[in-house]
Amino acid sequence: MTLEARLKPLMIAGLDGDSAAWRGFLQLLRPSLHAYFSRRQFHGDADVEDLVQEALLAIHAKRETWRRADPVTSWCFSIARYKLIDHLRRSGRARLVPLVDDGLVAADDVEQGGVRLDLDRLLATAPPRQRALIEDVRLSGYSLAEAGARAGMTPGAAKVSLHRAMKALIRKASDRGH
Amino acid sequence: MDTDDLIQALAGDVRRVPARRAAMRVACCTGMALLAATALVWLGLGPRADLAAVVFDPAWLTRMAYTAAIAGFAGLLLLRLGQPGASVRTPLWGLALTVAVVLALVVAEQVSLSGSARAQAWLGHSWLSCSLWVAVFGAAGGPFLFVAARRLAPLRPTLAGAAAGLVSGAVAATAYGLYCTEAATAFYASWYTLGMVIVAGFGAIVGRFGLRW
Repeated sequence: MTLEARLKPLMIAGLDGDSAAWRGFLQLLRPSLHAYFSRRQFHGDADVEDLVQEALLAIHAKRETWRRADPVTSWCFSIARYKLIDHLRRSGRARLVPLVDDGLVAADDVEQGGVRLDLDRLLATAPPRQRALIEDVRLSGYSLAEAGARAGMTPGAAKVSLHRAMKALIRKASDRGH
Repeated sequence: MDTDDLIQALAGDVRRVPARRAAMRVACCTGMALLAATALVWLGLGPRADLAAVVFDPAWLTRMAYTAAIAGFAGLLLLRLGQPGASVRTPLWGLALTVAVVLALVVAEQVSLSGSARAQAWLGHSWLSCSLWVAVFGAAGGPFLFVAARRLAPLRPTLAGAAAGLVSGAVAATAYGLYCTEAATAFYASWYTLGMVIVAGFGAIVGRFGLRW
Protein backbone atom coordinates (compact mmCIF):
# COMPACT_ATOMS: atom_id res chain seq x y z
CA MET A 1 0.00 0.00 0.00
CA THR A 2 1.33 3.44 -0.84
CA LEU A 3 2.11 6.01 1.80
CA GLU A 4 -0.74 8.12 0.49
CA ALA A 5 -3.26 5.28 0.86
CA ARG A 6 -2.12 4.63 4.42
CA LEU A 7 -1.96 8.29 5.47
CA LYS A 8 -5.27 9.48 4.08
CA PRO A 9 -7.68 7.52 6.33
CA LEU A 10 -5.56 8.39 9.39
CA MET A 11 -5.59 12.07 8.39
CA ILE A 12 -9.35 12.10 7.98
CA ALA A 13 -9.89 10.29 11.29
CA GLY A 14 -7.45 12.68 12.95
CA LEU A 15 -9.36 15.68 11.61
CA ASP A 16 -12.52 14.15 13.04
CA GLY A 17 -10.88 14.22 16.46
CA ASP A 18 -9.48 10.68 16.72
CA SER A 19 -6.35 11.09 18.84
CA ALA A 20 -5.01 7.57 18.23
CA ALA A 21 -5.38 7.97 14.46
CA TRP A 22 -3.56 11.28 14.59
CA ARG A 23 -0.73 9.73 16.57
CA GLY A 24 -0.56 6.96 13.98
CA PHE A 25 -0.51 9.54 11.21
CA LEU A 26 2.39 11.47 12.72
CA GLN A 27 4.32 8.29 13.50
CA LEU A 28 3.83 7.01 9.98
CA LEU A 29 4.95 10.32 8.55
CA ARG A 30 8.00 10.63 10.75
CA PRO A 31 10.39 8.26 8.93
CA SER A 32 9.39 9.72 5.56
CA LEU A 33 10.10 13.22 6.81
CA HIS A 34 13.37 11.99 8.25
CA ALA A 35 14.34 10.52 4.90
CA TYR A 36 13.21 13.68 3.11
CA PHE A 37 15.38 15.94 5.25
CA SER A 38 18.29 13.50 5.37
CA ARG A 39 18.54 13.53 1.60
CA ARG A 40 18.80 17.30 1.73
CA GLN A 41 20.68 17.86 4.96
CA PHE A 42 24.31 18.65 5.56
CA HIS A 43 24.69 19.55 9.22
CA GLY A 44 24.37 16.19 10.87
CA ASP A 45 21.58 14.24 12.43
CA ALA A 46 20.59 16.70 15.15
CA ASP A 47 19.49 19.17 12.48
CA VAL A 48 17.46 16.56 10.64
CA GLU A 49 15.60 15.67 13.80
CA ASP A 50 14.99 19.38 14.50
CA LEU A 51 13.53 19.75 11.02
CA VAL A 52 11.36 16.66 11.45
CA GLN A 53 9.97 18.13 14.66
CA GLU A 54 9.38 21.53 13.08
CA ALA A 55 7.56 19.91 10.17
CA LEU A 56 5.45 17.73 12.49
CA LEU A 57 4.50 20.80 14.52
CA ALA A 58 3.55 22.75 11.40
CA ILE A 59 1.59 19.81 9.98
CA HIS A 60 -0.30 19.60 13.26
CA ALA A 61 -0.92 23.33 13.58
CA LYS A 62 -1.95 23.78 9.94
CA ARG A 63 -3.95 20.58 9.51
CA GLU A 64 -7.11 22.50 8.66
CA THR A 65 -5.42 23.78 5.48
CA TRP A 66 -5.48 20.32 3.89
CA ARG A 67 -8.16 20.09 1.21
CA ARG A 68 -9.80 16.70 1.11
CA ALA A 69 -9.60 16.79 -2.69
CA ASP A 70 -5.78 17.01 -2.60
CA PRO A 71 -3.26 14.22 -1.87
CA VAL A 72 -2.15 14.19 1.78
CA THR A 73 1.45 13.45 0.87
CA SER A 74 1.83 16.44 -1.43
CA TRP A 75 0.34 18.63 1.30
CA CYS A 76 2.73 17.22 3.92
CA PHE A 77 5.83 17.53 1.79
CA SER A 78 4.91 21.02 0.62
CA ILE A 79 4.99 21.97 4.28
CA ALA A 80 8.24 20.04 4.83
CA ARG A 81 9.79 21.84 1.88
CA TYR A 82 8.66 25.23 3.21
CA LYS A 83 10.21 24.42 6.59
CA LEU A 84 13.43 23.27 4.95
CA ILE A 85 13.76 26.48 2.93
CA ASP A 86 12.95 28.51 6.02
CA HIS A 87 15.61 26.61 7.94
CA LEU A 88 18.22 27.14 5.22
CA ARG A 89 17.45 30.83 5.04
CA ARG A 90 17.83 31.24 8.76
CA SER A 91 20.86 29.08 9.44
CA GLY A 92 22.46 28.13 6.13
CA ARG A 93 24.63 31.13 5.53
CA ALA A 94 26.14 31.34 9.00
CA ARG A 95 27.06 27.68 9.00
CA LEU A 96 28.45 27.53 5.50
CA VAL A 97 31.29 29.97 5.91
CA PRO A 98 33.73 28.36 8.35
CA LEU A 99 33.80 24.93 6.74
CA VAL A 100 37.06 25.49 4.95
CA ASP A 101 40.00 26.63 6.96
CA ASP A 102 41.31 29.72 5.23
CA GLY A 103 44.85 28.49 5.83
CA LEU A 104 44.28 25.67 3.37
CA VAL A 105 43.93 28.07 0.46
CA ALA A 106 45.93 31.10 1.56
CA ALA A 107 48.97 29.14 2.62
CA ASP A 108 52.32 30.80 3.20
CA ASP A 109 54.79 31.15 0.40
CA VAL A 110 56.95 28.08 0.92
CA GLU A 111 54.08 25.63 1.13
CA GLN A 112 51.79 27.30 -1.35
CA GLY A 113 52.75 25.17 -4.31
CA GLY A 114 52.33 21.94 -2.39
CA VAL A 115 48.98 22.94 -0.95
CA ARG A 116 47.71 24.03 -4.33
CA LEU A 117 48.79 20.72 -5.80
CA ASP A 118 47.05 18.75 -3.04
CA LEU A 119 43.97 20.84 -3.50
CA ASP A 120 43.91 20.27 -7.24
CA ARG A 121 44.31 16.54 -6.77
CA LEU A 122 41.48 16.54 -4.24
CA LEU A 123 39.23 18.66 -6.42
CA ALA A 124 39.80 16.34 -9.37
CA THR A 125 37.91 13.66 -7.45
CA ALA A 126 34.77 15.79 -7.16
CA PRO A 127 31.96 15.62 -9.76
CA PRO A 128 32.44 18.35 -12.42
CA ARG A 129 29.48 20.54 -11.43
CA GLN A 130 30.37 20.49 -7.76
CA ARG A 131 33.98 21.08 -8.63
CA ALA A 132 33.09 24.16 -10.66
CA LEU A 133 31.05 25.46 -7.75
CA ILE A 134 33.87 25.00 -5.27
CA GLU A 135 36.39 26.66 -7.54
CA ASP A 136 34.10 29.59 -8.22
CA VAL A 137 32.96 30.24 -4.67
CA ARG A 138 35.85 29.14 -2.51
CA LEU A 139 38.81 29.92 -4.74
CA SER A 140 37.72 32.57 -7.23
CA GLY A 141 35.52 34.60 -4.94
CA TYR A 142 32.20 34.49 -6.79
CA SER A 143 29.06 34.83 -4.71
CA LEU A 144 26.84 31.79 -4.31
CA ALA A 145 24.21 33.32 -6.59
CA GLU A 146 26.77 34.08 -9.32
CA ALA A 147 28.38 30.68 -9.13
CA GLY A 148 24.94 29.08 -9.13
CA ALA A 149 24.01 31.00 -12.26
CA ARG A 150 27.25 29.89 -13.96
CA ALA A 151 26.44 26.28 -13.08
CA GLY A 152 22.79 26.70 -14.06
CA MET A 153 21.40 26.33 -10.54
CA THR A 154 19.30 28.50 -8.25
CA PRO A 155 21.21 30.09 -5.34
CA GLY A 156 19.47 27.65 -2.98
CA ALA A 157 20.49 24.61 -5.01
CA ALA A 158 24.00 25.97 -5.35
CA LYS A 159 24.23 26.38 -1.60
CA VAL A 160 23.10 22.83 -0.97
CA SER A 161 25.35 21.40 -3.65
CA LEU A 162 28.37 23.34 -2.51
CA HIS A 163 27.87 22.32 1.06
CA ARG A 164 27.63 18.66 0.12
CA ALA A 165 30.71 18.90 -2.05
CA MET A 166 32.70 20.55 0.73
CA LYS A 167 31.65 17.90 3.18
CA ALA A 168 32.68 15.14 0.82
CA LEU A 169 36.02 16.82 0.14
CA ILE A 170 36.78 17.29 3.80
CA ARG A 171 36.02 13.63 4.41
CA LYS A 172 38.32 12.61 1.59
CA ALA A 173 41.03 14.94 2.79
CA SER A 174 40.93 13.55 6.30
CA ASP A 175 40.92 9.98 4.95
CA ARG A 176 44.14 10.70 3.09
CA GLY A 177 45.74 12.14 6.17
CA HIS A 178 45.47 8.79 7.96
CA MET B 1 12.40 17.40 23.19
CA ASP B 2 12.28 13.86 21.96
CA THR B 3 10.29 13.36 18.76
CA ASP B 4 8.23 10.55 20.32
CA ASP B 5 7.23 12.87 23.16
CA LEU B 6 6.35 15.57 20.64
CA ILE B 7 4.08 13.21 18.69
CA GLN B 8 2.49 12.12 21.96
CA ALA B 9 1.86 15.73 22.94
CA LEU B 10 0.45 16.66 19.53
CA ALA B 11 -1.86 13.62 19.51
CA GLY B 12 -3.16 14.71 22.90
CA ASP B 13 -4.11 18.09 21.46
CA VAL B 14 -6.56 16.85 18.83
CA ARG B 15 -9.96 18.44 18.44
CA ARG B 16 -12.40 17.92 15.62
CA VAL B 17 -11.68 20.09 12.59
CA PRO B 18 -14.73 20.74 10.37
CA ALA B 19 -14.09 19.95 6.72
CA ARG B 20 -14.28 23.49 5.41
CA ARG B 21 -13.03 25.44 8.37
CA ALA B 22 -10.33 27.35 6.44
CA ALA B 23 -12.82 28.35 3.74
CA MET B 24 -15.38 29.36 6.35
CA ARG B 25 -12.85 31.52 8.14
CA VAL B 26 -11.82 33.35 4.97
CA ALA B 27 -15.50 33.90 4.11
CA CYS B 28 -16.35 35.15 7.60
CA CYS B 29 -13.40 37.52 7.74
CA THR B 30 -14.28 38.84 4.28
CA GLY B 31 -17.81 39.44 5.52
CA MET B 32 -16.53 41.33 8.53
CA ALA B 33 -14.24 43.43 6.35
CA LEU B 34 -17.28 44.25 4.17
CA LEU B 35 -19.28 45.25 7.25
CA ALA B 36 -16.46 47.44 8.54
CA ALA B 37 -15.96 49.17 5.18
CA THR B 38 -19.71 49.65 4.68
CA ALA B 39 -20.11 51.14 8.15
CA LEU B 40 -17.25 53.55 7.50
CA VAL B 41 -18.59 54.60 4.09
CA TRP B 42 -22.08 55.02 5.49
CA LEU B 43 -20.99 57.05 8.51
CA GLY B 44 -18.07 58.87 6.92
CA LEU B 45 -19.40 59.77 3.47
CA GLY B 46 -23.05 58.78 3.58
CA PRO B 47 -24.89 56.78 0.89
CA ARG B 48 -25.72 58.52 -2.37
CA ALA B 49 -29.09 60.26 -2.18
CA ASP B 50 -30.69 58.19 -4.94
CA LEU B 51 -29.45 54.83 -3.65
CA ALA B 52 -32.96 53.37 -3.40
CA ALA B 53 -33.66 54.21 -7.04
CA VAL B 54 -30.29 53.20 -8.43
CA VAL B 55 -30.24 49.62 -7.12
CA PHE B 56 -32.07 48.49 -10.25
CA ASP B 57 -29.82 50.45 -12.61
CA PRO B 58 -27.79 47.99 -14.71
CA ALA B 59 -24.76 50.29 -14.82
CA TRP B 60 -24.63 50.51 -11.03
CA LEU B 61 -25.26 46.80 -10.64
CA THR B 62 -22.47 46.00 -13.10
CA ARG B 63 -20.07 48.11 -11.08
CA MET B 64 -21.08 46.39 -7.85
CA ALA B 65 -20.80 43.00 -9.57
CA TYR B 66 -17.28 43.86 -10.78
CA THR B 67 -15.92 44.67 -7.32
CA ALA B 68 -17.83 41.82 -5.71
CA ALA B 69 -16.47 39.34 -8.27
CA ILE B 70 -12.92 40.57 -7.66
CA ALA B 71 -13.47 40.18 -3.91
CA GLY B 72 -14.82 36.65 -4.36
CA PHE B 73 -12.09 35.40 -6.66
CA ALA B 74 -9.36 37.10 -4.64
CA GLY B 75 -10.79 35.44 -1.53
CA LEU B 76 -10.64 32.06 -3.25
CA LEU B 77 -7.10 32.85 -4.38
CA LEU B 78 -6.09 33.68 -0.80
CA LEU B 79 -7.64 30.42 0.41
CA ARG B 80 -5.91 28.30 -2.22
CA LEU B 81 -2.56 30.02 -1.70
CA GLY B 82 -2.93 29.16 1.97
CA GLN B 83 -3.59 25.47 1.32
CA PRO B 84 -0.30 23.77 0.40
CA GLY B 85 -0.68 21.68 -2.73
CA ALA B 86 -3.97 23.28 -3.81
CA SER B 87 -4.35 24.61 -7.35
CA VAL B 88 -4.80 28.36 -7.86
CA ARG B 89 -5.97 27.99 -11.44
CA THR B 90 -9.68 28.59 -10.82
CA PRO B 91 -9.34 31.88 -8.91
CA LEU B 92 -6.71 33.19 -11.32
CA TRP B 93 -8.93 32.44 -14.31
CA GLY B 94 -11.84 34.02 -12.46
CA LEU B 95 -9.91 37.23 -11.86
CA ALA B 96 -8.66 37.30 -15.46
CA LEU B 97 -12.15 36.73 -16.83
CA THR B 98 -13.65 39.46 -14.62
CA VAL B 99 -11.06 41.96 -15.78
CA ALA B 100 -11.53 40.89 -19.41
CA VAL B 101 -15.30 41.43 -19.22
CA VAL B 102 -14.88 44.90 -17.73
CA LEU B 103 -12.24 45.81 -20.32
CA ALA B 104 -14.66 44.75 -23.07
CA LEU B 105 -17.34 46.96 -21.51
CA VAL B 106 -14.91 49.88 -21.40
CA VAL B 107 -14.04 49.46 -25.06
CA ALA B 108 -17.72 49.27 -25.99
CA GLU B 109 -18.44 52.39 -23.99
CA GLN B 110 -15.51 54.38 -25.40
CA VAL B 111 -16.46 53.44 -28.95
CA SER B 112 -20.01 54.69 -28.36
CA LEU B 113 -18.78 58.07 -27.08
CA SER B 114 -17.41 61.07 -28.99
CA GLY B 115 -14.01 62.65 -28.33
CA SER B 116 -14.53 64.94 -25.35
CA ALA B 117 -17.09 62.65 -23.73
CA ARG B 118 -14.50 59.89 -23.64
CA ALA B 119 -12.14 61.74 -21.35
CA GLN B 120 -15.13 62.94 -19.33
CA ALA B 121 -16.27 59.33 -18.83
CA TRP B 122 -12.81 58.32 -17.80
CA LEU B 123 -12.12 61.12 -15.31
CA GLY B 124 -15.66 61.78 -14.06
CA HIS B 125 -15.77 64.37 -11.30
CA SER B 126 -14.07 62.42 -8.52
CA TRP B 127 -11.14 60.58 -10.05
CA LEU B 128 -8.68 62.25 -7.69
CA SER B 129 -10.41 61.12 -4.53
CA CYS B 130 -11.88 57.77 -5.63
CA SER B 131 -8.78 55.55 -5.48
CA LEU B 132 -7.73 57.22 -2.26
CA TRP B 133 -11.05 56.47 -0.55
CA VAL B 134 -10.98 52.87 -1.73
CA ALA B 135 -7.47 52.50 -0.34
CA VAL B 136 -8.44 54.10 2.98
CA PHE B 137 -11.52 51.93 3.47
CA GLY B 138 -9.52 48.95 2.31
CA ALA B 139 -7.10 49.52 5.16
CA ALA B 140 -10.05 49.24 7.55
CA GLY B 141 -10.87 45.70 6.44
CA GLY B 142 -7.23 44.64 6.17
CA PRO B 143 -6.82 43.36 9.74
CA PHE B 144 -9.74 40.91 9.31
CA LEU B 145 -8.17 39.40 6.21
CA PHE B 146 -4.78 39.31 7.91
CA VAL B 147 -6.26 37.29 10.77
CA ALA B 148 -7.76 34.84 8.29
CA ALA B 149 -4.49 34.57 6.35
CA ARG B 150 -2.43 34.01 9.48
CA ARG B 151 -4.31 30.78 10.15
CA LEU B 152 -3.59 29.48 6.65
CA ALA B 153 -0.28 28.01 5.51
CA PRO B 154 0.82 30.19 2.56
CA LEU B 155 3.96 28.87 0.87
CA ARG B 156 4.30 32.28 -0.79
CA PRO B 157 3.62 34.83 1.94
CA THR B 158 4.06 37.88 -0.31
CA LEU B 159 1.57 36.62 -2.86
CA ALA B 160 -0.90 35.59 -0.16
CA GLY B 161 -0.58 39.07 1.36
CA ALA B 162 -1.34 40.62 -2.02
CA ALA B 163 -4.41 38.40 -2.37
CA ALA B 164 -5.60 39.34 1.12
CA GLY B 165 -5.07 43.02 0.26
CA LEU B 166 -6.99 42.59 -2.98
CA VAL B 167 -9.93 41.10 -1.07
CA SER B 168 -9.87 43.99 1.35
CA GLY B 169 -9.59 46.55 -1.44
CA ALA B 170 -12.38 44.97 -3.50
CA VAL B 171 -14.66 44.79 -0.47
CA ALA B 172 -13.93 48.47 0.25
CA ALA B 173 -14.62 49.36 -3.39
CA THR B 174 -17.95 47.57 -3.17
CA ALA B 175 -18.86 49.55 -0.05
CA TYR B 176 -17.64 52.77 -1.69
CA GLY B 177 -20.05 52.03 -4.54
CA LEU B 178 -22.91 52.88 -2.16
CA TYR B 179 -21.65 56.46 -2.04
CA CYS B 180 -20.10 57.01 -5.45
CA THR B 181 -22.27 58.58 -8.16
CA GLU B 182 -19.97 57.95 -11.12
CA ALA B 183 -21.75 55.94 -13.79
CA ALA B 184 -19.11 55.36 -16.50
CA THR B 185 -17.46 51.97 -16.88
CA ALA B 186 -14.13 53.57 -17.81
CA PHE B 187 -14.21 55.42 -14.50
CA TYR B 188 -14.50 52.46 -12.19
CA ALA B 189 -12.38 50.23 -14.39
CA SER B 190 -9.55 52.70 -13.79
CA TRP B 191 -9.94 54.28 -10.39
CA TYR B 192 -11.66 51.54 -8.42
CA THR B 193 -9.09 49.14 -9.80
CA LEU B 194 -6.24 51.47 -8.89
CA GLY B 195 -7.56 51.70 -5.33
CA MET B 196 -7.78 47.92 -5.06
CA VAL B 197 -4.29 47.50 -6.47
CA ILE B 198 -2.91 49.96 -3.91
CA VAL B 199 -4.38 47.91 -1.08
CA ALA B 200 -3.08 44.71 -2.70
CA GLY B 201 0.42 46.21 -2.88
CA PHE B 202 0.24 47.18 0.75
CA GLY B 203 -0.96 43.66 1.55
CA ALA B 204 2.02 42.19 -0.31
CA ILE B 205 4.42 44.14 1.90
CA VAL B 206 2.59 43.13 5.07
CA GLY B 207 2.42 39.52 3.87
CA ARG B 208 6.09 39.33 3.07
CA PHE B 209 6.98 39.90 6.70
CA GLY B 210 3.78 39.09 8.53
CA LEU B 211 2.56 35.89 6.92
CA ARG B 212 5.60 33.70 7.47
CA TRP B 213 4.94 30.72 9.67
